[in-house]
Amino acid sequence: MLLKILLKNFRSSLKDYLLFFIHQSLMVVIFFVMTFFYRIAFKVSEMDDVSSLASFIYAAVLIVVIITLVSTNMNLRNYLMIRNKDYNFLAILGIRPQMLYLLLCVEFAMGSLLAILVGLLGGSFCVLGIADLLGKAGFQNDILLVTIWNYLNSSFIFIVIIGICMASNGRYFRRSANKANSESPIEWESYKAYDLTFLLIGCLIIIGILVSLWFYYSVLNSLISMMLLVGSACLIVFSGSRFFFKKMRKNKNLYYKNLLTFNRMMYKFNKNKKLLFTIFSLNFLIFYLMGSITASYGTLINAEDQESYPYDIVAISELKMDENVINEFGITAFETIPILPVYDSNDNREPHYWGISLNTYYKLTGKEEALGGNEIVLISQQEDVQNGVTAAATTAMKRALTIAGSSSNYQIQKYFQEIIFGKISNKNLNNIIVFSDEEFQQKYFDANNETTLFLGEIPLNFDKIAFVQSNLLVTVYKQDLLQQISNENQVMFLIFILLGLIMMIQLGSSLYFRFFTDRNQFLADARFLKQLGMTDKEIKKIYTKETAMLIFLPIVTSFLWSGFFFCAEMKFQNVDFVENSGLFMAFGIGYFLIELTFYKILERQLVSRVSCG
Amino acid sequence: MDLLQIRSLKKRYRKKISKGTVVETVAIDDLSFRVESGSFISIMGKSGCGKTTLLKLIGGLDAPTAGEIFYKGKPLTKLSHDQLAQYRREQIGFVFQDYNLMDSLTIKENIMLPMLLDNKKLKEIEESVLYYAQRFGIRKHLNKYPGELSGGEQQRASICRALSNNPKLILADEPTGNLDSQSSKEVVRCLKEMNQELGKTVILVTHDPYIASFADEAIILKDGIIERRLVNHMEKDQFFKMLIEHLNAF
Repeated sequence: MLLKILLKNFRSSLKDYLLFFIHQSLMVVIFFVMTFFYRIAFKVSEMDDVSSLASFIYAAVLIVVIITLVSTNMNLRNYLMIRNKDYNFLAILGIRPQMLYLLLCVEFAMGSLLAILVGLLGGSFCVLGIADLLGKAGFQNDILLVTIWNYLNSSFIFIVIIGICMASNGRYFRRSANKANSESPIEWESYKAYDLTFLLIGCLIIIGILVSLWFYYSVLNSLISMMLLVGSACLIVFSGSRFFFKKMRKNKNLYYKNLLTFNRMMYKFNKNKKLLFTIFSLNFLIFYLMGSITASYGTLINAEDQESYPYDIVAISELKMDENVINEFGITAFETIPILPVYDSNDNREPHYWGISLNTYYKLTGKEEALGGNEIVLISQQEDVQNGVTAAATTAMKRALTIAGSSSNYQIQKYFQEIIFGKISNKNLNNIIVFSDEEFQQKYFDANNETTLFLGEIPLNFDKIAFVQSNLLVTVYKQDLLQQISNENQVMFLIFILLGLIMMIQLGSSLYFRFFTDRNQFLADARFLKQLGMTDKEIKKIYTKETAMLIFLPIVTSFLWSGFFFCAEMKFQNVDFVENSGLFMAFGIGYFLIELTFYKILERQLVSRVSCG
Repeated sequence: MDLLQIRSLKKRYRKKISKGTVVETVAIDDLSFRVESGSFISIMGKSGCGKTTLLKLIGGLDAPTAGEIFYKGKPLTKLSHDQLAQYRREQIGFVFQDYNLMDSLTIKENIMLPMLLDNKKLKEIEESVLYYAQRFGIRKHLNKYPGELSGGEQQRASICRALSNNPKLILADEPTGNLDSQSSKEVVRCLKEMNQELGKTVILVTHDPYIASFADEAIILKDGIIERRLVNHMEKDQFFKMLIEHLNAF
């Protein structure tokens, strides 16, 4: 009997089920690809020089898990709404709510399990493509292997997510039959006293955030400001729309002329608070990702442009070396930079920091603002205890090479500065400090075992082995470094795109399901307005405005914010906005076109039915 | 003078039930009658006999398969979509079983809506709203939302809205279907009042012979054709009994 009911339900709502199934499958595909990246992160975390990449991948995997959880939950709710009519009918026949929910869970679980199988299959193909791409880029094959654990882990986590969603929605299911979730206009009328206050608070928060971002730009600040801005934007939309709506009522001519538009918009905003919050959040995140994709892509392109890195080698000698000594190894030194080992007071065997002068710091970072006289800046991190000196110095020097090679490239500067200020450092122990010039000279003069950093050019037939065997502490070759920068950014670029994709899928499905479930109400309203004597054209105009507002208002807001964020970033980097905004604008326009297409599909599905409805 | 003239009206619906199988349902089959200006006509019949379809066709919400509807001598089938919208806006007032009031608008705004769509002056609109609200006893509810009113009050608001644009013809589709007997009486009293005192032509679709007995004439439909026309030349109670007898004879 149960099976019959299930099959009947399945057949009667094949289209809805298909939508839900495609959505779930896509989530599994992306989730599976992320577990593949997780494995890469796990492997690369063992390597010192790309540990920041590992942290980034871990963060991305966590974001994907959260989004998958939220998305699956929303998918279940939407599914529940689609099924509401069938279940109400069964409830009338006397089936208990627990039994009904069990029925829904069985349906949902069946669909999800099938989606896992399809998703894993699709994911495998995607992973094969990505592995091939990364293999060509120089990643080792053993990192890129997909094991049975990838499949088991993804399936297990996804099943757990489905379980959590089903457990948490039980109470909503029991409640949905009795209580409407939407807010009535009588309720939002009573918020009157708080509208202006909330509107002002929202505006003040936004002004505060923008001022803070403009003058004290940092990655952390931009992330926090993004989250606060989402909240403030929603606060402004909800309270502002109510406030202006009520103010507009006083201007009778204007108000009554646009009665339906104002009222329905107002009603729509207040009815879809959660949806609007989700749309705002996802749009802000997508635009933030666009900035990051631009940065990652810029670095990737720059890494391939070897001309922008003038030094073939960066090395640290154990002893103070002058250019003549360096030249004996066949290296033409472009520059020698004195650096100092700085020891911890309790341990004189291994240096804990490497000291550079403020002048060198300027030279390496391209940062022109003066720092405080004795300010200490910590760069990079010391990782491995055994190879502490080498590892730390390598990391620091790589940054130095990157920056020195392309000080005009603001993306790399940004990367370096993030390292400098420890924003993406996952370890507490940093190992390069900047002294004031006077202090550095004093320390350098007093030091017995000075060390020299030199940036130089090597001939084509240069013997690496002979060079390394000499008394040099550490060497970094341009080719190796560029390969690594390219690898890191290639992975980051792919992950950013995947994150963007998962957010766009979530955004699209949230909107589509909402319009889909609102369709009956929409057509009923259209019929009623037709009876009042409105033409199809007039009705379509009202609904077009509503739909467009719900889709494009968050996009425009997010675009304005991300544009500001981009300007603030470029001001911080002292680079030209026009020169560097091309890719970002291209992404922005591309995203807008995608949304426009999506909007046209929705319009076709809904608004065009007005004529026949 | 005939306000409405219906000639050989037919309406068939085609529905595809499976691949290659199309089922045709006859909703109205060769229907002809005339409606005089200022008359009150009730249309009765069993479910599926074509009552609501007839109302939709008269209101220009659907197009007939064959035949013609003349409103003041002009054929509706010759009108464009926009002209039909204008016809509904200016000439027709609808009253429905589920009131069709917009939840997001106050009662006052709901009543104003047809006049706003017709671009009338604000002063004129407000005067009209107050007049009808006063007349049908909902003036104190004007600033409330539909959700705050009882079914009877909502239906009276719906009648005010139907009248607000001063239409010639009122089409009421089961206006008492969702109401208790007391509210039903109030609503039908309102309909009678607008027919007799305001001179509106009313076409009322109902199952209830008591409600139908208020009309000047009852048309009983069966399978899309007129089974019987009963003209009310007698007392209301007698007409009611006569309707019951005819319905039982079906």
